[in-house]
Amino acid sequence: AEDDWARTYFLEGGAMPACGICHSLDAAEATGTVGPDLDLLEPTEQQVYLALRDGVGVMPAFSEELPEDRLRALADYVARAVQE
Amino acid sequence: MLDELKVKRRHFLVGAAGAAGAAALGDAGVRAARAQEASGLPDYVSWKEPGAFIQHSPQTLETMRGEIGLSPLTPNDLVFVRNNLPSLTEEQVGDPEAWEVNVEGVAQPRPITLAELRTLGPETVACVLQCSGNGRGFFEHETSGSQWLTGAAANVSWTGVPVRTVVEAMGGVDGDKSFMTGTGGEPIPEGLDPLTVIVERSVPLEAQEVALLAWEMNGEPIPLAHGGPVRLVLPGYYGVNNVKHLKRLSFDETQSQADIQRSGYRVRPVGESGAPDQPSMYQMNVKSWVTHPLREAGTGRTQIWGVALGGTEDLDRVEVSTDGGETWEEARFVGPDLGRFAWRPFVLAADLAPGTHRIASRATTASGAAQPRDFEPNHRGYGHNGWDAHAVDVTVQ
Repeated sequence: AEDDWARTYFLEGGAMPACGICHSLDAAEATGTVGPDLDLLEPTEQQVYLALRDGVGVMPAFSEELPEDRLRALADYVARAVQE
Repeated sequence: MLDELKVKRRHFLVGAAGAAGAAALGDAGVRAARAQEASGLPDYVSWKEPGAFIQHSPQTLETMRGEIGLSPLTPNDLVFVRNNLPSLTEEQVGDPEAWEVNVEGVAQPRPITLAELRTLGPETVACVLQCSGNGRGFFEHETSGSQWLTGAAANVSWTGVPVRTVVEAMGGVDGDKSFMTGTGGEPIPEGLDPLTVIVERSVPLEAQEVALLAWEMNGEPIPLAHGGPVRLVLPGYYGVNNVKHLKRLSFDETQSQADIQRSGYRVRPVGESGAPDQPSMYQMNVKSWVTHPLREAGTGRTQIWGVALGGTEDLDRVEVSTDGGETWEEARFVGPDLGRFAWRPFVLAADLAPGTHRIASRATTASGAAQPRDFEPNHRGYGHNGWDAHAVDVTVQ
């Protein structure tokens, strides 16, 4: 269920823009080209978590929109997806 | 760490020609793909020196510490890359001479082309280009973003027209303005509020006194990877303020509402979120680091060298320690003084006995500002200039 939520959030977002607008991720069939291609970058769970929590460069922080457990769930989903 | 970025075949193809299959690649595309394969660098920077970079991501390339030598300027193919958005392509730019910058907040606002900028009086300035997060990897707390050590910095000669000349040609700044804002020309994808990702930075108005609209980098047209055809250059200011692919230059009463200005690049204690009332990453601080030797040295006489910058000030001196900061000796500057915004290579001859030596450098500016031993942590890991963290342990056999 967490993965379903994460995949949906990745593609559709909430008040914040969807991850997939900017990032490519094969597992989510996302093809954004603004930020790094996650399949190429292969970030760790912690790297994704920190990027979501604090932002990176123009990537905004998602910590005001998502509670800690959702940040972790999304980071976990992405980190596992890029290893597949 | 992402030191060795995997380059997958799929990305050669998509990256090289925007096509989904090899059959769609023309000769040029195939050559580009091979060049990338050979250098391991992404297409848009395949002209850079292979093997000279740590790739944190396709958009963030760190110059390896030992690649910086005693030349006062950093050759373009060694200059680090930190792109917040993908670089524009030649197709997106079109004719560079027809590239327009919209100048607003002046008495006679209008677009001005690169061709017309060339008709105004040019100037050249040498200055350090440095990412706000250079040295982030030296902090002990966990930070998001590239874990840069020393290599998100370069010393570059820029040629262009001073902003004050452009402003004068347009009748001066219109009314009471506090900020100068530069906006990048990268396209923003549909479905995104532009303020979320647009590269738009406001700096205090006085920055216009030193700013350039530049079209040349170290004697060549500014490569697209570095923000050509026209880049806003702000000597003494951290890299993010030097807006690439400049499409708009505006004089304003208030700062940009873009996230990169409002909450990004803000210095705050560890654990706090970014907010407009925190200091923005504007002017650089005094800093230096050794670039040779880094790990090993022979017995006998060794030339220790590195680079030092005063931020916005002239340097007074650089000292080098070979015993972890117990004792210091003044180093000698090498080469010409390119002004207060440039860095200066330095050298110190030392006779190192067998054993391990902790080599550090410490720069001091004309007004007496010196690098601290330690640098207080901040949430995003900006501005580290502590000399101890930048020291290297060199073994002499």
